[in-house]
Amino acid sequence: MSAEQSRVVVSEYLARPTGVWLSVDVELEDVPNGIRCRGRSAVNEWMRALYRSFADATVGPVRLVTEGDVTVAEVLVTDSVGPTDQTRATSAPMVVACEVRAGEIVALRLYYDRQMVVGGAPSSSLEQPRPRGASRTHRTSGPHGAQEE
Amino acid sequence: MDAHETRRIAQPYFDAHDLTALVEDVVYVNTVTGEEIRGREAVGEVLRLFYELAFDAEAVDKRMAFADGTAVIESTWRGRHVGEFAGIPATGKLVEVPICVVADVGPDGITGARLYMPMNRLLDQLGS
Repeated sequence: MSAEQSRVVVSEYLARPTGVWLSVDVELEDVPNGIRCRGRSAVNEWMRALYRSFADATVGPVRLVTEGDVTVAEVLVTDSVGPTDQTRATSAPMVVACEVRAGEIVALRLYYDRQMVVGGAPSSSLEQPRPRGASRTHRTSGPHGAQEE
Repeated sequence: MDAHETRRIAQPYFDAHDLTALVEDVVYVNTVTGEEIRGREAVGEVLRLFYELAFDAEAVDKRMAFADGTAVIESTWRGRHVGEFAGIPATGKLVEVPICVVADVGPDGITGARLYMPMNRLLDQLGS
């Protein structure tokens, strides 16, 4: 699969994040929250929740970099905050790194400032990655608050 | 500037933190804290904090990508907490977080970069 084809897949997915671009066993890692989910439906659910959390947001421009089967997209998310007469726009960059094989996204990694996400994301079908060498008991914070592991 | 030239300029920084790959007035932004680090020397100080002074750390599992004027690295930053960081005295704990850096590359070097590092996960591991 060419780099250009991978870029098209990622661009189309970012514009319309539906399952058609995802492999059945796609895996997503939400880096700031330290959460992983696996499978098309779980990833779909997670991405829909993430997009919903940017209620009035616009996404763009998108900068794409492809190397091998990895395409990295850096986007600027701009959201409007406050009542109409005092509305101010806040912007934050976000990175979506996608591994694309045979026209499907098989893995996604999201990097962003989690404080810009005002809504929640689904907690079902999720697992918490544990850092190698770290204590088995550590605290992580997800979209629904702190969770003890 | 094509991807090949972008790689030639940026990869020494990604491989070994070669500060000569940065232009003198580079602007480095921590996208999570909003902090801006201006200048090659200041970037070097931050790198020393994260890789030598507060942590004995290294970046592993590096994945790089290069396009016209843009370079990206994803890696796992891993190390031991050996010095004060964010007001927390050395704990000796092993810590590990995924990081990503997106760099703007010009003919004279890296002109800007955005760091995506989940500080909340780092502080959680330190017991903060």
